[in-house]
Amino acid sequence: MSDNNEYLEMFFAESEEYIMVLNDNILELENDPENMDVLNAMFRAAHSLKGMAATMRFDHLTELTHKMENMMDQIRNHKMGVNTEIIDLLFAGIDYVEEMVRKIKEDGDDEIDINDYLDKLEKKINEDTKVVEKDKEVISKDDSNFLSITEDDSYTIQDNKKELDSVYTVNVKLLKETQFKQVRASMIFKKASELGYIFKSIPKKENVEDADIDDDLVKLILISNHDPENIQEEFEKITDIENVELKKLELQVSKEKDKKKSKKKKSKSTSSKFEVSSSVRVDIGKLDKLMNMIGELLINKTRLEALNIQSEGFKDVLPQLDRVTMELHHTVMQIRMEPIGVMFNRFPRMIRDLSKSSDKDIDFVMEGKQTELDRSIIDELGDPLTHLLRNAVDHGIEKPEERVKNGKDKKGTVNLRAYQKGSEIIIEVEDDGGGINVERVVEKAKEKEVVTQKEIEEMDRDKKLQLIFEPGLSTNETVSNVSGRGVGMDVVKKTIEGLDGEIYIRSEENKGTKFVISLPLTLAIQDALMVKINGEIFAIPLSAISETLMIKSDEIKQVKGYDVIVLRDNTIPLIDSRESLNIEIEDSSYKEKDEMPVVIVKSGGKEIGLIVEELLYQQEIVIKSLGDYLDNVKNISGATIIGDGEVALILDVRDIA
Amino acid sequence: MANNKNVENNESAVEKKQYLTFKVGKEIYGLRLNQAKEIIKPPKITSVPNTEDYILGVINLRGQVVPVINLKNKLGLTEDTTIDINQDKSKKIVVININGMLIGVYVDGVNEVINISVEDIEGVTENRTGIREEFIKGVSTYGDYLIIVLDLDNLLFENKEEKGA
Repeated sequence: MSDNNEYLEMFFAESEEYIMVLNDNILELENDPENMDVLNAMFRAAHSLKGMAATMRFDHLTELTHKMENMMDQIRNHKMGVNTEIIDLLFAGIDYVEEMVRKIKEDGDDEIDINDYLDKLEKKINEDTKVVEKDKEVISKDDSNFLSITEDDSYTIQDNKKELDSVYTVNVKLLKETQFKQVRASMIFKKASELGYIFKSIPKKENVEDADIDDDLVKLILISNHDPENIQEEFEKITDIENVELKKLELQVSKEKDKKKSKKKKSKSTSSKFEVSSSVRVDIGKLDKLMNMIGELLINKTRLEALNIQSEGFKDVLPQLDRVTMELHHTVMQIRMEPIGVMFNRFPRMIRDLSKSSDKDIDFVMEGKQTELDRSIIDELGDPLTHLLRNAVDHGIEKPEERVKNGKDKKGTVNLRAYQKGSEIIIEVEDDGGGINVERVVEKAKEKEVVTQKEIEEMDRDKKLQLIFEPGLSTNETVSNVSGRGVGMDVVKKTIEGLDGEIYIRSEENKGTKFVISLPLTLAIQDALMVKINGEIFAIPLSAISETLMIKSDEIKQVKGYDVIVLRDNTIPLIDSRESLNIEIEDSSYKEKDEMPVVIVKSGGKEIGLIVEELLYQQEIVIKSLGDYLDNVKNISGATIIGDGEVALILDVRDIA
Repeated sequence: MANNKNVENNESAVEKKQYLTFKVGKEIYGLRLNQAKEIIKPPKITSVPNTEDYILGVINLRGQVVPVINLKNKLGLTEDTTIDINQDKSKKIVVININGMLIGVYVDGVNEVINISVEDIEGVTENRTGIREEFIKGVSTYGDYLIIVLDLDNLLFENKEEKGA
């Protein structure tokens, strides 16, 4: 039973991957119906899916994937053309596959009625193949026989290849009667290594000596600066070769931004550049556990430091321990990083479906798919981004007629981009649609009693716009099945803030709307300033502090009844930290002291001075959540464990500032 | 984990369930033993501002931050609800594992583990305890004393339900 569970886990993980591959490639196919690589990738994914389903005895799923595979095969062999109807059919199939996998997860079986769909598929295949059958015989079937590369491969190659290198997929066929095929194969590999680098091959280079050579065929992806004719010649020089086929591949690498980003990952030390490092699939839970343990290690290290033992050995060991701990932490963080593209990939399909169903013409552009983020953050981002993108399509982009009337291109654009900025990751969702009517947001906010008239009067346009994140404010009255799912912007904001991030909106009428999300690069460990407030120790993340200073009571000025200080010509409001924490002020106010420490914190461009009792020290803290039971405590973003094993709370300056 | 399983097995064999009994104020309360993870001596509790009154604060349980609730306060027992940790050595925190979360329950003292069969837990007809009815599963007599069996789900998550919706 537990064995089976393990397989099931694997089945779920892999089927998810295949479904993604299928979705991506079908989308790609729609844009580029002649692309064999795309078709092959699709076919392989469907085939693998079928294989898995059959092994696990999910008969419905097996049948479904089998039929879909058939259809793809027909397309691949040019017996069917590609049109919107077929693409829709394929997408519908994927949806059923997804549904079945979900059902297996929940109920343990895959019994979903798909007979209608299968009939439709069958009918389509029969209809179309008859039409096309005659005139497509010409195209060589061998095209599909080549090895192809995935987009990821493209990046790897792009990073490592020299300027003049090209990428070839090569099939070398041995004579049928050849003896010692393995020897010939190793000669092929030897020759290939002389000509360039072998990126990928069937059979694999390492085990060529005892591999079966299927169809007497050795397949290679070769990166070389030789021209194709030369390569062909060189291979043909080997004895017992029947023929050599070769095709130049174009790399599917998009734009410089990605290139720059992925360059960083380039490994420095490997002697043979294209030895792809082996990888294992690890349960994220295990990584979480590892992270926790490193956290504990760090805490104990801090405690050890606090012991302040007077011995030479001790002073030697501490920096070592420090280095090892940090490196460990760094490595685990690296392991947890994933390119955000794994999540972005679901969106093109969604946008396509949405724009079709709402009769809008939309160009969807994604940038920065290679930007890396902590896996747990990526997982959490799926829903809010889905919501923002749905909104962009549903409420943002106007219908084509309206766009033309307003002097815009009839095709709207939705941008989704991710990039790193300092220690933050920025994600932007931007549309060039109608924008948001600020006055309507304000009206709604007043109606829902989120703000008072007086508050409104003090707000600038930008602040008014941010009201959209208040609960119950969605300016579009019509609830469609697209955006109106009861999730509001307030939920989006909450999710982002739960990740210790920020979100704000910029919008101009008739020009478009842009949501900007900023997220911390890592969640778990941060530098913080420890302060004392009302006798308890609190941590303030250094990233939120612009400076600390001591002020004298006569430096405090009054503006409109509020305390402020003037710092280098800036007027900064002052707040007693105990007030923001709702701590009863028993003893006299800090302000009555002659001198008091102030921490200037910043958030969203604003600065505020926080009066504390005492500035303590700076420390690396391991951020822990307060747990689900205490979610969303005002002004507290989490907790950490300090040297003596006590819990110290982390101040959330976003709400205070 | 293994322990829990044993408990479960015993239960089905004797048709009785094991309860941990503890004292809060003057009364004895019980909770299902398999919901209790461990009993600890109260460490330093860090109070958390901007939370409900019955949240005493958070503690460090081997590296995990665990909230601690003041049962007296939560149950609405009007008597003295302040807690002085140094006052009484018998005070304990019962760490319970519920809905996948660890929550500490601050009690005045832990008594014992007893077996109560389901039939022996009577519904509360006349609520003399002054505790909100939905917090109580029932009462059971055991020897000389009366045990108030708590419904931890309702007790701990009454507000959370609405929030989640």
